[in-house]
Amino acid sequence: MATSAVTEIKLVSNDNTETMVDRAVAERSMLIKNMLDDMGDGAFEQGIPIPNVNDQVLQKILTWCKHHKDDPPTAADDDSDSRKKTTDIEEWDQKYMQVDQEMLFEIILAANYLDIKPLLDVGCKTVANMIKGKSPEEIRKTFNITNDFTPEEEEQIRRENEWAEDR
Amino acid sequence: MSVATRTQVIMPQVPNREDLDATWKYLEMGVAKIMADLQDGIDMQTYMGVYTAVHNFCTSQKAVSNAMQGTAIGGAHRGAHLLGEDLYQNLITYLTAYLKNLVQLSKTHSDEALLSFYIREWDRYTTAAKYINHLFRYLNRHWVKREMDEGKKNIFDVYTLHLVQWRQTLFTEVNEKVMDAVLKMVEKQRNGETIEHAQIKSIVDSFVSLGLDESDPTKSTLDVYRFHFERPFLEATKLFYQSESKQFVAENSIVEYMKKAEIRLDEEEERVKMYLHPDIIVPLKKTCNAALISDHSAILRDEFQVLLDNDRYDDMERMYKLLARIPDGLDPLRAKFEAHVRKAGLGAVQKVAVDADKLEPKVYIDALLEIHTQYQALVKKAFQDEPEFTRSLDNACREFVNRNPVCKSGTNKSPELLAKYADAVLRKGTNGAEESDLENILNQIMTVFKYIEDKDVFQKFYSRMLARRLIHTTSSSDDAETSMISKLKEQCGYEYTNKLQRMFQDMQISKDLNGGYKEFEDKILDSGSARGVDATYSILGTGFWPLNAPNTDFTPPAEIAKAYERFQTFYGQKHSGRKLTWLWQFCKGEMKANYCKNQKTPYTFQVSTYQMAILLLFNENDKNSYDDIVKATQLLPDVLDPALGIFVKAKILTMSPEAGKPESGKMFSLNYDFKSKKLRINLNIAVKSEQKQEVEDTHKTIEEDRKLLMQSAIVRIMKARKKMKHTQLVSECINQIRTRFVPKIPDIKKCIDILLEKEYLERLEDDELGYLA
Amino acid sequence: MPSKRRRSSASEGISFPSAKRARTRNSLDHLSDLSDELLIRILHNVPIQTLIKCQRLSHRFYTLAGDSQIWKNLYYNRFVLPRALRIPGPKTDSALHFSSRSSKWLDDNTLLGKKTNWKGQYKLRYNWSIGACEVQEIHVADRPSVPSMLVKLAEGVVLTIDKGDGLRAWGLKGRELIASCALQEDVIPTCLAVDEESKDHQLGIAVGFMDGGWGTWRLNIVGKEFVDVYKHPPSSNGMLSAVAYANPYILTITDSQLLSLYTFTPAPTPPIIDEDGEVAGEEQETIQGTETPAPLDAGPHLLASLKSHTSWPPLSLSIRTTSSTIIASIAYSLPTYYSGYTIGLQELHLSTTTGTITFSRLSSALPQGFSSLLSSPTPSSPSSGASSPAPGNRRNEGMGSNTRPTTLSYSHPYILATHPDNTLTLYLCTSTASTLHISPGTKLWGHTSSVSSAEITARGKAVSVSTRGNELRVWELEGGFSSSTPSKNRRLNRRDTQAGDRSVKIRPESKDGEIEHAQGRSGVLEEYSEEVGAQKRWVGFDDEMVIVLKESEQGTQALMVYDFT
Repeated sequence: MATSAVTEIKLVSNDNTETMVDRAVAERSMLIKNMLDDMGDGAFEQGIPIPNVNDQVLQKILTWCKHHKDDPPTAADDDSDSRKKTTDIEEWDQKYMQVDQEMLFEIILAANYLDIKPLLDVGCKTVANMIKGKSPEEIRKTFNITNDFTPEEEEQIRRENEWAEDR
Repeated sequence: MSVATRTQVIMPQVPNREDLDATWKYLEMGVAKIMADLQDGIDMQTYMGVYTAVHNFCTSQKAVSNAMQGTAIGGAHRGAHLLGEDLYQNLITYLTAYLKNLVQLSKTHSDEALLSFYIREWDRYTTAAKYINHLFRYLNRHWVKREMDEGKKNIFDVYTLHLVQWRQTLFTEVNEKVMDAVLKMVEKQRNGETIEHAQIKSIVDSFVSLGLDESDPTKSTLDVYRFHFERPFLEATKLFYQSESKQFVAENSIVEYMKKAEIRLDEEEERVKMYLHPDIIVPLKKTCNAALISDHSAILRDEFQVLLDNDRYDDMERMYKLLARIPDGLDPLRAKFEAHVRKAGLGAVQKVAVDADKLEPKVYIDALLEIHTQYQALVKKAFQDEPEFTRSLDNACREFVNRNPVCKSGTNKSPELLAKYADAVLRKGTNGAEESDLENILNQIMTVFKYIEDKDVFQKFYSRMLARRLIHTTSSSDDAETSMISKLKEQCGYEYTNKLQRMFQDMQISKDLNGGYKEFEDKILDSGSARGVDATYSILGTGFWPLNAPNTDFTPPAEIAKAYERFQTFYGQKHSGRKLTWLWQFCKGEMKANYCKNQKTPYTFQVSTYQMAILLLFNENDKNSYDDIVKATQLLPDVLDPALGIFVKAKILTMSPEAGKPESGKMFSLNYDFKSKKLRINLNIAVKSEQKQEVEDTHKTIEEDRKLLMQSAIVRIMKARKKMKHTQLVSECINQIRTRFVPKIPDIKKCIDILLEKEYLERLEDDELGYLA
Repeated sequence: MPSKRRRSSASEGISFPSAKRARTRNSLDHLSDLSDELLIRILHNVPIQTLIKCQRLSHRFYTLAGDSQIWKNLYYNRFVLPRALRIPGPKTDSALHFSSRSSKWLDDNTLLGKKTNWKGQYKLRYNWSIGACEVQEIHVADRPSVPSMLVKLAEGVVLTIDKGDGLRAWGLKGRELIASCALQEDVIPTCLAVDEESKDHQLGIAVGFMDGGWGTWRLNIVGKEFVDVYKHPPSSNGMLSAVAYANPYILTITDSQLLSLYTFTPAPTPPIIDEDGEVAGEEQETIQGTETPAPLDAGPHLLASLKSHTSWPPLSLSIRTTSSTIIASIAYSLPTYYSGYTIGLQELHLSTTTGTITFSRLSSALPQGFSSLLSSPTPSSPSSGASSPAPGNRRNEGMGSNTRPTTLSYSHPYILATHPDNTLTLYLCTSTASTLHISPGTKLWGHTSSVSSAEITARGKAVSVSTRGNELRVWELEGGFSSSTPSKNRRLNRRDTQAGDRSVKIRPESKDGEIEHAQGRSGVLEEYSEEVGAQKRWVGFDDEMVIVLKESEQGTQALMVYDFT
């Protein structure tokens, strides 16, 4: 029933914008794929509401989905092999991720919500690359993180982890 | 923003992400809707709403930020705290309540109605579970996965959770009643009614689905199914067939019962294919076999003798197939079969063995073969050539071939008779069997040969008779002879037939040699001197031929003497150093009788050399006295008397006085009035007493050979082991020799004593023997 | 296909919580706004050095960057996976993928399923791998013991026994004496064994004595006391030189190579008691002794006894039990004609049900042949040049003259022998139902003075100590046999698997951290260099610590505790 007659479906973002999109593209989202499988074709002629994502972000997400629509399906066991190397981001994805921080996090949130694992991984790797190699202060500055440690506490943590520092 | 009327897309209303109560209330409504009327379909708003509510609750950070503040440095290595446990627990509570309600409802149903109820509710529940699993996917992806990674027991993904709850709450309450209903249906079907077996299939599937491996949720087990379905099912099956078969046996014949059991067994196999889990096939077969066969195996076996006696092949086949299903079921049949064949074999021999001494080899062998053929056919047809039955047949045949009324004196009568039979078959002109027939008969001989224990006896007799066939060129076919030897070789190995083959070779070599001699003779006889006799010679290797030097002195007549001296010269040139012993007793020749009155074409006498020497004396004198003949030929009376006897009997010579045997004082004269219908007269006839003598000789040599064989085996063993216990040595010795004959223990002991005397062996302490190099 | 967009005119009447999330903190801190599961996902992608920096960002990040699942993953990639690749055997790609709940964790399974401190475990393994540890001393005796003090380590407890001070137990956590128990006046302990199957904080201990007798004790670790369990009377067979204990079995061997196996379970048939206790019946004599009632357990009875003519000390006894058999083994050194000493192993298989010997078999390592581990003829140690330098016999040079081992450590399937020529030899045993086989030995280089003791575990981890010079090495020998052929495993092994590189020298730091120690291959630790005369007599280790028995020139004895946590 997955490959049924309906090839184009309507998505509605939370600011009520409708988008027609290829079924194969939308099915990069496991949420939508499961729903299509569960509900059958008749149920969503009127469009699928996506209550957690606004139009701007949805369009950005769909751009990624279109580019990756022919990728092989991801393995069922979403364990962490793909998390090994942060540098492993393909060129197109790197460019895709050149957005402001707010959009970057919106993409991560939406990918997580829509259950698009490869996109979520790309997002997480991008953030990890932003953290990597920086000092704690630099990281705080990059992300506006508030330091809620006393200097003594911070020193204590530094000593605790001394063994793992580069020798 | 303005309201659009054209579109019906309505964003689902989702409760506040941080409010557990509100969130759960919302979720419960959605879940209940799915459980209750999924058939009507659920609307998009509910679907997306429930998913979103789960997502939003799990990603809210209220709880986290509160718990966070207390973390002390150096503590808590667990790390992240994911949300979702509350939802998970609430879901469990909801499912438990839902299922408890179902349990109540189930109580209003029984039997087939209960089955229908169970199946309906199961289908509804599992379908809903699939939906809910998707709707709670965010919980599965994060909170559940992490709990599992951390090794928590009893945390499952939402779908599995549904199954677990079903098992805990509903299944434990109703499974026995459901099973009762299933078993009732099956019994109905066994009693010939038609049932809706798809229902049972659904129950099986449901029970199988509930087998979850708690330690590894990715795997499933059949434990639940085995305990709650298979076990009661097998128990019911057992009881059903126990009572049915008991009754049936009481009212019907065994043969009828076997047919019934066969049908029942097939039915059960069919049942598995139709609606049971394939896993049950082995235990179900076992149960049926026990109730239908093992419980009645005693009476089945009792019937077997009756079937055997009446040659009921089909029923025996049926019985074989039934008893083959149970462990050790066939052993008693085999024992009975073996005893039966032995008895039949002995009976057949008894019939022909009225006068053992005059027993025709062919009659005897045919009797043996008939039994073998008959029961081999039985093994093939009824017992499917099963190797164990074949072995029982072989055991029985070996018994009656080697130990029967004909072999009263010892086991060597059978091989002797078999060898004689073989000789009769292979000798020229006895019955003129066709080539293909001949091959068949040889195969039959080999069949009997296979069972012969004293293969060495057969070898002795066979080689003697082969020697005679070769010397006297009485073989009916060289091909048949070779074929027989190769068959023997196949069975007993190279060594067994080595001498037989060498005999063949000698004959061939002799043929070539005679050609060479002819040339040699032509050369030296150029001068025109008379050739005297036209002779051919056979050179037989002493070691290979079972022939002895003549036991009488003999002066060959001058006519022959020249020729044989010439041959000796020729052979001496060719192979210097070889000694030729003339086996006069096997030589023969032809003589032309030109002296007869009333006869234009001369008669030809076929005679032995001894006879020839005697007759040639009458060229000089028409009358010769017994003593003259002795003097001239140097023959001993043992040989001379029978030869003369033949002449007298054939009326070639007349003896005076006529009465009595040829002996000293008698006078022999040539009968010029000799008459015969045939032109060629064979006077070279072996005498009965000679034949008997030969048999005895053969047996004697066999005994001698056996002693040597045992001794050499003992020496071989001891040479390898150096030291050995007496009893061990004896059994090892039997082991080595068994392919030739079965040695008797006292004989081996005697051989050991001989070897001790000859100081090949020495006695050591403790009943041990040592080898002396 | 281009997506068609149009402004939907859907109602605004639906009150949907704002798409903008309710920010609870600094509205610009998008990162901290993410839920835990997402932050963990991000932190999975950063290297350890960054991870520990993240711990310093804030309380929240301190917790998240110390997350057990992240460190578990790091532990797997650093320690479990390379080992899985190193161990010979069929491998499929899928078998090597990290999976937190399947059984691909080899022996590390013991850590799974519990609330393990994965960061702590990582640190422990990391310290072992680079030889980093803290060192402390526990003073145990003021004077040397004759014969030397016997030491064992089990369950975080060091057991020592000598004639003067009796049996003592030292807790490693508190570095203190936790229990002691005097011996009888006249007995001299000659060998010591700990029950290989101890559990529930109870240690079974067996001690063999000079007079041929032996005894068992039980140490209650929690209650801190020794319980005298059983005393086996002296025997005329002479001094016991080794003992092994796997309750209820005791395996002993005398210095005249009489091997005896006892069990504490009731005898299926009463032992034959021979009145004439003289001839081979010497053993019967001891059986008669068992009739004296033992305090707690029933007296043991002799299951088997045999005399070896070929086993030379040093030797090592062990008892393994499987579901159906007990395997009592003796590993011993064996002189060969041409190539010095090699190793022999005898196994006695007993049925657990009947207690009778099913069979016995032996095997010995072939004299060392050419192995590419020794790719260059390396008579690095002068004492190994003792072989006859026969021309054309070059193959045997260097390895042909195995010196007699000083100690043997046998932990199936490994036998590790120490040699006075600064080397160790590793043997691998294969014991199946049908065969027993010992591989040719593999020489291990690394020590710069005579090796006095070593211990190996069934997993192939070993620690060895030199008599002098504070040289302590940790070896990872598992699967090392296959390293002679270049394999793709290599690239996953960070260290190249050359024999000399398979060990790491332990680099201790003193507890207070005041003194900076010289480190590195040739460095001799200053603090202890004053004790040049100190002798290292024994070494043992567990998951967290290495224990060395040291005897100084003045004769004081101390346990050195090298703590890797």
